[in-house]
Amino acid sequence: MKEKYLLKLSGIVKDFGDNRVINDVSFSVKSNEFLTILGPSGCGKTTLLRAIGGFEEPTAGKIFLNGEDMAGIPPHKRQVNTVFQKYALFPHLNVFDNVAFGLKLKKVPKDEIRKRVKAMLKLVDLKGFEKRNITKLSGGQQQRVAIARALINHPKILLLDEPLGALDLKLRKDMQIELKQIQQNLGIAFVYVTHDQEEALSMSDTVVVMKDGKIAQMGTPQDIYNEPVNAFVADFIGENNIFDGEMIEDQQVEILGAVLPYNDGVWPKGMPVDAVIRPEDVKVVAPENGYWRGRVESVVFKGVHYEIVVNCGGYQWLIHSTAAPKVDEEIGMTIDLYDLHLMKKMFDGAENRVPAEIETATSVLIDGLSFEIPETDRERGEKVILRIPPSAIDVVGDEESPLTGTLLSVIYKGKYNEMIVDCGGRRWLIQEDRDEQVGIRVGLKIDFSQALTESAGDDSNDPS
Amino acid sequence: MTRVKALAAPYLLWVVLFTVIPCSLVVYFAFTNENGGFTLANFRDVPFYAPVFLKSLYLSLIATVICFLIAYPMGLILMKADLNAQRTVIMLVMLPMWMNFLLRTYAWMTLLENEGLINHFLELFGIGPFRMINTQGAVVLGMVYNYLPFMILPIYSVMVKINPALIEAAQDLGAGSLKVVSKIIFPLSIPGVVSGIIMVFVPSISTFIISRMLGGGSNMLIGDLIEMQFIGSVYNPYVGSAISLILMAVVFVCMGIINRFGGEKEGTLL
Repeated sequence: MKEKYLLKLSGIVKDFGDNRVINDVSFSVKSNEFLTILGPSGCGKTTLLRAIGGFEEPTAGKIFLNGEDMAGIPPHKRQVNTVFQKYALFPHLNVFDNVAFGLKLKKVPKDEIRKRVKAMLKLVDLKGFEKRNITKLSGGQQQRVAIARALINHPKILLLDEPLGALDLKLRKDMQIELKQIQQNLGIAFVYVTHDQEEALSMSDTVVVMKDGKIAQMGTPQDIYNEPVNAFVADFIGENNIFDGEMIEDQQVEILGAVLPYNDGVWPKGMPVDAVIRPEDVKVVAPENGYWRGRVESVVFKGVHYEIVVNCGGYQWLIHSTAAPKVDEEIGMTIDLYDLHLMKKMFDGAENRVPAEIETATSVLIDGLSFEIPETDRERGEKVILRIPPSAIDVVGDEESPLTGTLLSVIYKGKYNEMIVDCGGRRWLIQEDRDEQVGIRVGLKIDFSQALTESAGDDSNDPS
Repeated sequence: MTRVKALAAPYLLWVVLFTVIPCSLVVYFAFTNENGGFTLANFRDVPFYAPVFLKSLYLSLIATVICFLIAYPMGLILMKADLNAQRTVIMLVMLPMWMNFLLRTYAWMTLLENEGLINHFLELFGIGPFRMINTQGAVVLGMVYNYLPFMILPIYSVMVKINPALIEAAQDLGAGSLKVVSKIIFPLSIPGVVSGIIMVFVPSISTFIISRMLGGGSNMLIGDLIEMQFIGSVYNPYVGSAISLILMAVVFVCMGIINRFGGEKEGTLL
């Protein structure tokens, strides 16, 4: 198997105890490519980078560097170098000795070391800093030393773990440009890990969006931005209007009361979808000419455009426009149909269908937990399906309810946050006014008076 | 500020009462004769004691080196162990320290004696008996056994604070295990090593119990010499003070040398 790729990951899985942090990740990197792994904290991106660097052994899957299997090869024998998250510069060495560290280990002649360190420090704009003490450098300067220390070894691939995370905004922007220039000048492949979508879009040739240890989407920055595959990517990649929609005909979608034709792909009738509309794609028109109408809540001048918030039947729209309507003005909103993106929901169906067993006249068993319900005349022991609307569930603290789980995703849908919570393998869809941090443990409180009970027929299937 | 000063007053009093005054007294007696007059005569016999000084220096240096050779690899192993294992081992290291110092040393006597446990045990295999008690080796053993925890603790506490990312960074740059230790861990653990050396060397060089109990009469150290001047048959506190003063000077010089090696790193004591 001759590899054209410099780096190839195939089917990488990594477990920490019972916790699967990377779940079947495969991608490859060409020489010269700038690939960014983008994702929220806890998505497994740093672990993936550490696996490439040799600091974590994958539970399953293979990593090939230049076609060579890296299994069991320790970090110091891999031709990759890493720029660590908090730089990890050696505090007992000065700038010169930090940068020269790798060359000294390779027994490069002293004259050459001196020459190369000098050239490298010039490259990262730290000329004359050789004798400086590491602890006396600013964050940006330490950052550059870390990059120089890695690059001087001529790695085939440079791994960067949120290298700009500790810098302030201005410096971060400058360093983004510099990093990209360095990468292009040296012709080294970069694998770059970040949670900053703007950083990913502006620097990369390829972006790998990760969520919960899996690749959510992979492509060019343009692909990811223009054609996000699901609401998570759309939400993560930029400011977007994301609303619940439903296919009312095979090629017609209803979004917030408006019916729009949609023929990009096959979407069966009755299917719930996520509709993504970017703020800059919304056109402000006269109230009677739009698909939707609403009342302007706020207008903020942002330099290039106005940022307009419109209330449309309780749903908030975000619009970027060069024209400024007045606050409280009634406006119409329209879009070009090719600017409408429909996505399969990350949850099967628009409501929770939960198998349960009638325990007593006033309680049911769900996954072994007992819940009180309004009185029912169904028989004890009867298997039923509870249909629980997302709005009937409240997210509470994880000590306030016996039903607890991990918050997998939170997406603002204009009026409420759509949350998906994983409780021991069963996923719950919730509409909640509150905002919560993805990844935390939460408890669920279910209002069973809003739930419908169906007998579990033969055709019933477990939604999980 | 004044409040802080007020709070510091008891400590100042302590230092004056138990450090400054006793040291001054030692200096005073060292230069005083029986009639209370100034004299240098107390130092006249010091060259005569040079072999004792050298032997003390020699034995305590050996004990310090052995302690380091035991403690350092132990620190390296501990820093990679999980937290529970670390705690357990450190507990076990400290456990003997909770027992009386004399008791511990007596225990070694019964072990090392000609008719002691070890020789009895070896006899079962037809080996020995060996002369172990009243040798220099026994004195060094006593020092190592009693003071080893004081080497392990500072080295361990410095090592566990080393940022693991630095070790990974070194590996990333091509350093194998040996290079990681020599280029990263050792330089960063020097403050702990220096404190460890001081805390083993100083009590070792001035000990008198260990040498008397395990070394017999033939292995007299400075500590024994000083003790003899104060409560022994010789009774001459003036000469005793003079020897003490010289011991302090020797220790002071040794510390100076060690601190030079330690560089200007923070955390270095004395």
